[in-house]
Amino acid sequence: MSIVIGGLAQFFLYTVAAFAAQNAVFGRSLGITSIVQMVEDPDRDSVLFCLLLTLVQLISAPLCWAANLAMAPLSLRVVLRPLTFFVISALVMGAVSLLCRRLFKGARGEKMARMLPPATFNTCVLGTLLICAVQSFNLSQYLGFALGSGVGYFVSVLLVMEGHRKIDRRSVPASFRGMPVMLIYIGILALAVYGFTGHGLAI
Amino acid sequence: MTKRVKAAIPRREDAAVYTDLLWMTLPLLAFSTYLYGPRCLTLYGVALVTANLCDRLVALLRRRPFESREFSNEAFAAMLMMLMPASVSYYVVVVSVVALVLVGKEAFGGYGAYIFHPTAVGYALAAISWPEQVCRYPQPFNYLPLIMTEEPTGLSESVFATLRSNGIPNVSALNLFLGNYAGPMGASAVMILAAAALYLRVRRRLSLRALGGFWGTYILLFWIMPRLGGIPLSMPWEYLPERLEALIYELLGGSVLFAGVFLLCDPYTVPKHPLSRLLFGIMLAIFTLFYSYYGSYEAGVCFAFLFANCVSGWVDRMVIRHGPGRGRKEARA
Amino acid sequence: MNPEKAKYLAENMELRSRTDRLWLNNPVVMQGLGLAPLVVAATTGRNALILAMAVALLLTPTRLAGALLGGVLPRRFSIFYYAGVACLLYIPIYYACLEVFGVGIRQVGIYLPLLVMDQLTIRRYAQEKAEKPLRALRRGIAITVGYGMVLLLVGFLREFLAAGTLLDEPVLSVRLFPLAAQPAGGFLLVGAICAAWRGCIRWYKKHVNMEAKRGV
Repeated sequence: MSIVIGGLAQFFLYTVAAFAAQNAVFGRSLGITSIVQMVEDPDRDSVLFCLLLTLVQLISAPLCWAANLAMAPLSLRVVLRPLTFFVISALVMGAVSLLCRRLFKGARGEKMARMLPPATFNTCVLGTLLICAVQSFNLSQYLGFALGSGVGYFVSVLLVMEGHRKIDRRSVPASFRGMPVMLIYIGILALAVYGFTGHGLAI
Repeated sequence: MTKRVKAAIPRREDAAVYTDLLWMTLPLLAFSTYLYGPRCLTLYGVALVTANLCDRLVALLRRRPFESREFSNEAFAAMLMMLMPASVSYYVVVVSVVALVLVGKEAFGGYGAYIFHPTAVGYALAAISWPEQVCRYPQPFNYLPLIMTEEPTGLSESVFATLRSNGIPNVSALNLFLGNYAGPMGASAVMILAAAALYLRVRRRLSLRALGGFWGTYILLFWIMPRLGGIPLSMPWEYLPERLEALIYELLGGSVLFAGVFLLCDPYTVPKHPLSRLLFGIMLAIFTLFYSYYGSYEAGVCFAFLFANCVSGWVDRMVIRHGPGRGRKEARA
Repeated sequence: MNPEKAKYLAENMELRSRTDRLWLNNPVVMQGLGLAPLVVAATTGRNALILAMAVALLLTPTRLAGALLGGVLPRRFSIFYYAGVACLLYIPIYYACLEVFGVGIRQVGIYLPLLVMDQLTIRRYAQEKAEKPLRALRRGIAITVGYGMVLLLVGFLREFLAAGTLLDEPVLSVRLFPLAAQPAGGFLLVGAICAAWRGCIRWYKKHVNMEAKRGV
């Protein structure tokens, strides 16, 4: 019982840590290219994208934990990790795609299936799984970090989109319009997040 | 030869806000000069000159006329100086002011288009880059030379640093009230800050709702969760003298009083709708609490401002869509 | 500028703006690719060199392999063969970087393996049609050089500003801008570099158009 409670406590602690202090976007710049492209593309459903990303990340987390554990005795584990995590993510993506097509018939299911590859194969998902592996997290830490990272990514997307909405493009100097001013906006938010941690995050 | 007539640049409607803010830093500057010496004057002067030069440079680069009667950059720089210690180097002042103007304001489009309060941006940047200079303060009446050739000695941490480590500050309530303790240049003169707040309110620069929301929530939260060492987790009506002592330290011991008056006057980073302003003030107090407890830097309120500024437009929209008085014309966010 | 040259440049400006991966359509400055390693890991000149070597060995072969496989396999599996090839290529690339830079490659942390999943490496999978191999080779090399240029610029600049050194050799005794070593500073610097670069491009295009009109 105490193991379960301890595990749950670790799960919540790592969820909050990944969401706030170790934010994937503002602390480690993971998935930043996708965010910059998302804000420029009004047709892209950012909520659905973040939901799929979090789902894939969360389902992949325990499988990657098990794979990392199995690879621990190997001397080649460092170079095999990206390939292993890629294969696991691909399998999870396939499963989620089938599930989406079954549960949501028609255009919605197709839309979700089309959005899955970019939501799966990006630096946020692989980066989160690699951080968990490199820092030797246990299962509950893996799950908590994966969930917190996904939720943190979603909140970051909302904040960046809010900034995009607020920025008055007519006033911004021509050279700063688009990506440069968004990077400066994200940089200032990263300053605010750094105010919590007070030190750089381990990479 | 035809004489080219320079067209008069129309004065911006709310430019007087920044003039008032700039004027209100002068009594604080006078008091800080009394406490920390003439170095405060030179630091202030360097900050204003840097801000003005940046303004001229941007006007040149953007091929716009330089607006000599618009003092927003100077006001932001002056407010930044009030948050700094008197021992900070001139280089840090120059870099912070340049960042404040170019990154905090002009990159987003300049006057009226910035999203984050430029003073908060400049302070955050300086505190993270040079914490050993920005977060350590000289003792009052220990006048520092105008030009320092080596690292100043006798610097100490602020009251907030002691509170953050669950300690009990060694400053009496009277000294706190009089500003006779090691702290930021302009943040310790309580009476002058109160008078400035009154003046800014009379001039309608300061929103009562934002001010009330922030201070009401701040006092309530720190009453319920005091940071003073020795007060265990308890009900709000227990340990009353200790809670009061802790609250006095929280209100008077750092930059919160200054930031909670001056930074709330900005017309472009605070929401427009009256209810939004109240919610903004409440949100700011909650973020300040988080930074005070879990943050790594002194003026957590400046970092809290950055977060609150980025969601102020969202707060405005939510209030207009779902709040009382729906159907009225949407306020410009 | 020679009026004929100006006229030629002006007439072909749109094409050049799409195909020139070094200046006019740099992958970082104009397309925002490869930002993660640039902002977080490229904090010193040495880190930038490690990442540049990895990108040089990874990007073009991945793109070429993707183009070759794209001609044989169905397009709907494109993500698998682009990312799969990148993950396989990572194995020898890691050892090559280890051989050249030693344990210093640990300074870039997860951002070395992250290159396999970066949009810079695999974005071609999203295109509807497979690329021709020769075009993939040409574009891959151009993007590698364009990205490498910005990577080295950012890495050396951040090291100089944050620590006053270049490749760990002291140049200045003061730290001009310590925040440059942090991700927040990385975002601000990369944003400023992109703005300055785009400003230069705008000036160049305006200059060429003016020269072309003058020559008419």
